[in-house]
Amino acid sequence: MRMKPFEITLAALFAALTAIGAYISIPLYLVPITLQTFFVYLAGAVLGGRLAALSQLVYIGLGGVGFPVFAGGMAGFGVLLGPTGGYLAGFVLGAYVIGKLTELKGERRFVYVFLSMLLGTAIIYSLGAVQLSFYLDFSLKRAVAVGVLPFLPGDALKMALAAYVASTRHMRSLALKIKAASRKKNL
Amino acid sequence: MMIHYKSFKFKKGFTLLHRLDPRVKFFLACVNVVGALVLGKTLPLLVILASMLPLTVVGRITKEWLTVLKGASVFAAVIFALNFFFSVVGVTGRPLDFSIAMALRFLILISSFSIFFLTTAPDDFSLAVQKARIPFDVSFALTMAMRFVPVLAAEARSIADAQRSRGLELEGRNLLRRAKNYLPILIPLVANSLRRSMELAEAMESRGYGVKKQRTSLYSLKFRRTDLAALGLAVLALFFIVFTRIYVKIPTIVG
Repeated sequence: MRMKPFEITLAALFAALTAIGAYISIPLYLVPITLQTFFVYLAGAVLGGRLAALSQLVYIGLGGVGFPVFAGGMAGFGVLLGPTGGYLAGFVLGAYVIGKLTELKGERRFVYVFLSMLLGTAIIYSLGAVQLSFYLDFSLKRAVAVGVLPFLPGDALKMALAAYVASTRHMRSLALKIKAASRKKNL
Repeated sequence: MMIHYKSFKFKKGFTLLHRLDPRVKFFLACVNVVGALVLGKTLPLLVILASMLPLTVVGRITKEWLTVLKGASVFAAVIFALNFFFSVVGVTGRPLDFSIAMALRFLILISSFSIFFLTTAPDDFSLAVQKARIPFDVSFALTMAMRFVPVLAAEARSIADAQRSRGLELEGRNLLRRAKNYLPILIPLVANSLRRSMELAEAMESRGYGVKKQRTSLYSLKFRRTDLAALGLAVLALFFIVFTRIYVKIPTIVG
């Protein structure tokens, strides 16, 4: 896979932003509320599917090799297999779906971006809840009560925020630039 | 709550630990982590944590390592308190030993990888990642993200300070209002860093990044005899951990 320089720097940037988002957090029992998902949504809406998924893969790689970037300062591949690993896998898939949907539409209107983020959130949480219930021997119902419901109000807020930022003129022109540049031939 | 990223920054040196192959060092850190994950009692976790101390003395990074522990101990205290609270309330019903072990597990997870990062030069690290057959572009993005994180963290802090000096309130009861007040921090942060990453891409392009298909590098990783010895020790430790897990009944020392 050949990547262009700007694709590399953008993937690295959004990986780092997601890492920063993990630090702005309110600790809760088992799963903390963080700003991570805000940057997952934003990556999807601005970068497009492939690049957004890649940025989240880089983020997971960053934490996997031991840099403390997961929520609560956790690190290592062990976290991926732990109770909260499903959310991390969900970030990759969720960012990809959000990105693909906004790419399909082209124009980044607030409502449309918000709706595609809604679908992305559903993916993140269903993956997260399944792994949580598997790991803790919870029933799926209890896993949803612990690992999904407390976060939905916060996520609605973050989605609105991210959709707003992505639909600003600045971000729209950037998204167009990315699309145009990715059509150009490699050096 | 910010972990000191400084403690994960490479410290130049020429000790035995610095010269060790990064793959071996990474494997060593992984053995520690596996130990922390499969052994859930206070006693063995204390042994694992203590076994790191001589390593840091060899690598002359004891001071930095202790800083990491100090930074992580706040989180560890929170983990302990949560576990203890839930066992007292009766949700989990686990003994005190378990709560301490969970806090220790966290400390081991953090500090064992900090030894790896403190003694591995960024160049060696990216060479090792390439050796793992990850495409160069991806490994390059990984190293770049690693350097972005502390920069962005510092920038976020200074933007927050700047906005606070203009009268932005980040504290307060009203959650919705507080969330809204994060916008004047998030937007400059995202806009600034996007601009920076585009400039970085231009700089890479102007230096001819990606022109040649086959990349060469000035240094290469060599697997020496000391690496083999260290690898042997690590494998031995791994066997010991697995053995302990299966056959030894570990006593609980507290609670």
